[in-house]
Amino acid sequence: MTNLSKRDFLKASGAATAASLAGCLGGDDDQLTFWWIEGESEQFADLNQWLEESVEEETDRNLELTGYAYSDLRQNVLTGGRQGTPDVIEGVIEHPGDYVAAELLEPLTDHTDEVPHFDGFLDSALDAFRFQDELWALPYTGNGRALIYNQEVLGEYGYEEGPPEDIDEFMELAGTINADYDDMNGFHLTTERGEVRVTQEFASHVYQHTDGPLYEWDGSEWELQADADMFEAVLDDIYYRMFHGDQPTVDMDYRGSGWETNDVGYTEEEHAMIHCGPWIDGFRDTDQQEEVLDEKTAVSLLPKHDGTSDATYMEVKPLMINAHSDSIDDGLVVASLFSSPESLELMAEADPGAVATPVHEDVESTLEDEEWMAFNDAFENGVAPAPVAWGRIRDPIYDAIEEVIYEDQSPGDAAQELETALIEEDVTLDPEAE
Amino acid sequence: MERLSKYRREFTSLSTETWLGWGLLLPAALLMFVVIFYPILDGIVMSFQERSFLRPDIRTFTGLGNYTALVRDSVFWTALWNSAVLTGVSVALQFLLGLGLALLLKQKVPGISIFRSITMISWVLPVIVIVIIFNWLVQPGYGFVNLILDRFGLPTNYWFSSTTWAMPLIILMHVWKNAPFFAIALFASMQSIPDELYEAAEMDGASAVQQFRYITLPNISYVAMIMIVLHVLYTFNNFDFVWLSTGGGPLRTTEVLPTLVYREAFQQYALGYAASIGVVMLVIMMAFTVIYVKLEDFD
Repeated sequence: MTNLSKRDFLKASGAATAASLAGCLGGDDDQLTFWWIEGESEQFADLNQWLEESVEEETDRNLELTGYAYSDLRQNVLTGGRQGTPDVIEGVIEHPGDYVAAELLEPLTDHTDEVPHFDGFLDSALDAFRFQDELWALPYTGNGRALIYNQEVLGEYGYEEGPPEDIDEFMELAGTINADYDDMNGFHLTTERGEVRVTQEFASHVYQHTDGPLYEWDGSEWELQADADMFEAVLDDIYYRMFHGDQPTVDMDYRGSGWETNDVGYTEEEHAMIHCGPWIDGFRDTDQQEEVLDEKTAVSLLPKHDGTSDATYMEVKPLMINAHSDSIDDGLVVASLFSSPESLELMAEADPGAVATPVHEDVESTLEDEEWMAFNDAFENGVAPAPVAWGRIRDPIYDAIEEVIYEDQSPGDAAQELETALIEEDVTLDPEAE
Repeated sequence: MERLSKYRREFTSLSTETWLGWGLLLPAALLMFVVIFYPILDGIVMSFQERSFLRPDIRTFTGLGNYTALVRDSVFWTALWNSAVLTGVSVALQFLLGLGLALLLKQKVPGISIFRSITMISWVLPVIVIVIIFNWLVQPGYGFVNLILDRFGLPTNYWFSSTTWAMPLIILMHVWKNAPFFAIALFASMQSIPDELYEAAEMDGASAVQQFRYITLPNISYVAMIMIVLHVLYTFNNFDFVWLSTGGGPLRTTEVLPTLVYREAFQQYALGYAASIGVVMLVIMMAFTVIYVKLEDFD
């Protein structure tokens, strides 16, 4: 066997470095890049393969799919997107605003004729991406946040038709369940600092009071639509009562827990009721989870205060085109193919929850169980978040929720502080604005 | 005249050698400037500007505005205090535990080589894996720690969400990861102490404690100090343990300077303000770096 000399090693290292640099700097004209969260997922292998083949057929270019966690994806797009990579970007509903502010997105308003199935998109889903007089993304999946509950448990308390609509009665029921069961909480919400679900669940209840988004553009600036009274109603009647009411709905251990505890916990019968979206249907690792989801679970709209609306948090996933891409047209082909009914059918096969409430008229809902149909109503009542700087809004919301659940402040004081903070925060995404 | 000419020749030669030296140094110096000094300088300049992460090309000079805001920001002081506590306590514990482990590893007993290898496992684990393990252990309902506590009738909790226990738990993760590295470094240092010293001490009737106090400790002090300073730098700058486990909560009890910088830069988009926090960290860390360099020069 030949010994590897230092000289050989240096030569090999030099060649490898040169090749790497060539790969980084040279680029590949035949390649399109698409970043989406499931880019390298085995679960979506069929869909990804179909997409790669279809793109190659229509553009004569290879498609490179890369998967990122959303926080990394957003950061990488914001820091490196100007170099033209990726050509097509998938994300969450709060991302397009950031990218538009960074001048990274190609407006799609004048390109809609190039999307063959464009007329079939639901207006509400498209509206989530219309701002500054332009359409900035194509939707491909969406849902409205609803209440998931264990029918069997609620039936024991005489609520066979679903939980009470009134929030007061609802929290009383949840408290009673919690007190009666040693190993099951009545009603659980996520409260972990930094967890995106926390702000979405909080916003769902605030939207019921505002019957629309938290901020609206008044022609010159973003104006807060909620006030301290609304915040207090939500913080007091839900968050405070959840841990510190006369009958708490959940054990104190659960303060500050995240989505895993919430979603997985529900399917393992740790909670009788939670906030969730259709993806809950995907948590089927054990027989117990299958049984809970198939035989015991039903869905209803979220409970609310008297005189408020059924509004809830709407989540729509966008497909965006990088304005710095070397071929906007080819990027549009990718986005068009990925949001097409054919693609969504393949997506439904891999994850039925993703197409439970389709954003396109030509796609059939994967919902079959009558007990789950309330997801359709939740999607119709859904409110898309305003395209503002959500990072600046989230911190004061986490502060308010933590102060209430740790009894650091009364719900009234926390609500007052939250209102002041949200009015004072500069939520505009335009760095050149005043 | 001839003498002058000799000096000229020497001077010319020296000057040529010097220029050659400078010439050889130049590429490395340029590389260092581009890779190290330029980003630092830009960061310092940025701390005097208002800049958004979304459009970093737009800069507005604000003088000491960011620093004034920093002094008035209670979250900054909380993060500074938490960073100091996290660094001080975890490095102290790492050293003490590492020293204990090193003494254990030094024992000549059967199977010690396997034990040495096992000791290093927690050091080679990636931070994210450690956080997942700990997070799983303390989950409410089904976490192993809570199940055990529940079995003995003791109070359970989601310990990462406890204002009392979140920081100790983060410190514990740091110690769990880094104590083995302290142990190996100190053990290696102990191996270099000549056996004759211990034999002589034993003949003089020195007890084990006296041998440790007067032979082992002085001989490992140099390595120990280097390790402590390095880990102070690492822990003070560490971001991932805190961010992945608590995100700085609950109620900011685990907010540290690196998480605050990240939050300000990438979530609030306030690059200038984040840079000013970074500069404060730089100044504090420079003090430790000076100590480190002095120690390295110590003969």
